Amino acid sequence: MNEAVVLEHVEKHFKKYVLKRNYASFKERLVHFNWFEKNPNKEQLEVLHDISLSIDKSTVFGMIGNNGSGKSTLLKLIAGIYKPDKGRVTLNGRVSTLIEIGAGFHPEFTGRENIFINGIILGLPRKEIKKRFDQIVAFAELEEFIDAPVRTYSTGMYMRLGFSVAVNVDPDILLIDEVLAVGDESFQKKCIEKIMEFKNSGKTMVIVSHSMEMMKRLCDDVAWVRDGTLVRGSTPADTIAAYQSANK
Amino acid sequence: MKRLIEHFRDLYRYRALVSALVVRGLKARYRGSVLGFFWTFLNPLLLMLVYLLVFSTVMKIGIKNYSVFLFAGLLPWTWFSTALTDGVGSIVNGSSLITKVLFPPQVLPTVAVLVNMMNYLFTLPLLLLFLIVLKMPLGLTFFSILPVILVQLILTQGATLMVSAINVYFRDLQQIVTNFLMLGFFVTPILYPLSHVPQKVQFIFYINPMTVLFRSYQWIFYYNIHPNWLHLLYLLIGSFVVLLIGVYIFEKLKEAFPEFI
Repeated sequence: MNEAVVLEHVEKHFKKYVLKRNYASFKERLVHFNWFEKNPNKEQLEVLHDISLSIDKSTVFGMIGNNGSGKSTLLKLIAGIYKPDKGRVTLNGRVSTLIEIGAGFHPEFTGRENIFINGIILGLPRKEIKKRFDQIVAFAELEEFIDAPVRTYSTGMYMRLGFSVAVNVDPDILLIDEVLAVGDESFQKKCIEKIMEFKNSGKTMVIVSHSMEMMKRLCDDVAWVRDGTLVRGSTPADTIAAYQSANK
Repeated sequence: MKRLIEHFRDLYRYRALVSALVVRGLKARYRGSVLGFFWTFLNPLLLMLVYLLVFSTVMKIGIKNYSVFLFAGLLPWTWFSTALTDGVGSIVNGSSLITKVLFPPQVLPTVAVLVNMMNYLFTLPLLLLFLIVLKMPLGLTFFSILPVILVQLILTQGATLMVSAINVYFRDLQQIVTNFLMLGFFVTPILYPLSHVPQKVQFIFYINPMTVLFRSYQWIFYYNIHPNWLHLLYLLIGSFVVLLIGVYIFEKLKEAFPEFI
C-alpha cells in the first residue's frame, strides 16, 4: 500500500444551532418558540461535500483556502476527531496532530512536565519520552527555561515546544494546522528542515497554511479547499496561482 | 456489549495518560501556594473543625469523640462530591484536548474520580491520627474499608460518566449537580448518626443508597465493627447498574462531543 491517507466521498455537516451556539434559553424558548413550524435551527450546514482524496506515503500535502472553507474540518476528519457523516476515511499508520500548538499544555507546569504529558497524550510511552527528552528540548532551544512554568513562556517559545514534541513523537502521519506561521525566521528554517527530513524517512504530512511561500517550498501536492470542495490544478504551483488570482 | 468492553479497553490502553493526568491533577490543585501539598490535610481538618464548632459546641449533638465520627463520613463525601463537581464539567473544560487530539474522552471524567480518590486516601492518615490521639480502638476491621472504597469507586465513576456526558448538551446540569450534592449531604447520615433521625422520616434514608455507604465508613472507624455485608452487596450491585448506565449514556453521546464543545 502506497497511500497513507485515503478519503472516499466524505461529507460532513454541522447542525446550525451548534455553529451559532444559540442554545435557546428557557425564556427564549417560551417567548419565541414557533409551535407549528419545524425548528429552523435543526437545519444542517454542509461543510464538506463529497471529498475524495488520497495522499501517498512520504509526501507533504498542503491545503490552502480562505477562512471557513473547511480546511480545519478536513484535517480533523483525517485525525479521526470528527466522524464523517458519509463516506470513509482510511489511514495507514500512527497519526500525530498539531492542530493547535501545545494542546493540553498546563500553564502552571514546567516545560519538562508538559513535555511528558504532551508526549503521552500524543501516544508515546514514558520511556520513549525520556529517551528523546534532550532531543526535544534541544530542538525547541529551551534548555535554559525547561524548568520554568510554561505560563512564563513567550508565544514563540510555547510554539517551539509544541512543535518539537509533536515531531519527535515520531508519527507516520503528521497533521499540522497553521502553526508554522508564528516562529521567527531561524526556527521556521529549522522546521522546514525537519519536515524535509521527515518526508525523506518515508513519513507523510498534511499541512494547512496561509503562507503560499512555504507551501510552494514544502508541498508535493496542494489542494485548494473552496466552500467545502477540493479544487486542484495540474501542478501545486497551478493550484496556488488559481487560489491567489481568485483572491485578487 | 461490544462498546462496553471497548470503553474499558480504551481506558486501559490509555492508562499512562490517565495516571499522568491524575498526578498532574493532584499537583495542580495546590501548585503555587505556600503550604502546597499540606493543604490536602489542612482543608478537611478545617472543615471538620467548623462542623465540630457548630454541632458539638452550639447545637450539642451529644456524641462522644464527635470529631472521629465526622471525619469518617466527611472525607469520603468530599471524594464523592468533588469528583462529581470536577467531573461534570470535565468534558466541556477539556475542549482544548478533545477537539484537537484523538483520545478516548472517558479519560477525563475518570481522572476527576481518581484524583479525588487519591486525595481521600491521602487524608486517611489524618483520621488514623485522631483515632490514636483519642485512644479509640481499630483492629483488623480497618481492612473492611477496601470493599467499601471499591463500591464507592464504582458508584462515583458511573455517576460522573453520566453527568459529564449529559453536561455537554445540557449545561444547566453543572448547577443542578452542585445543588443536588448540597441536598445529598444533609439527607445522608454524615453529620449525625441514623439513630438521631425521627422514625417517621427514616424511610427517606433507607431509599438513599448513600446511607449504606456512609454508615459503613462510620461502623468501621467510629464503632470499630464490620459493615453490613449484605447491604453492601446490594449497594455493589446497584453501583454496577449505575456504572453500566453511565457507560451506556457516555458511549451514546461521545461521538458528537468535538462538535458540541
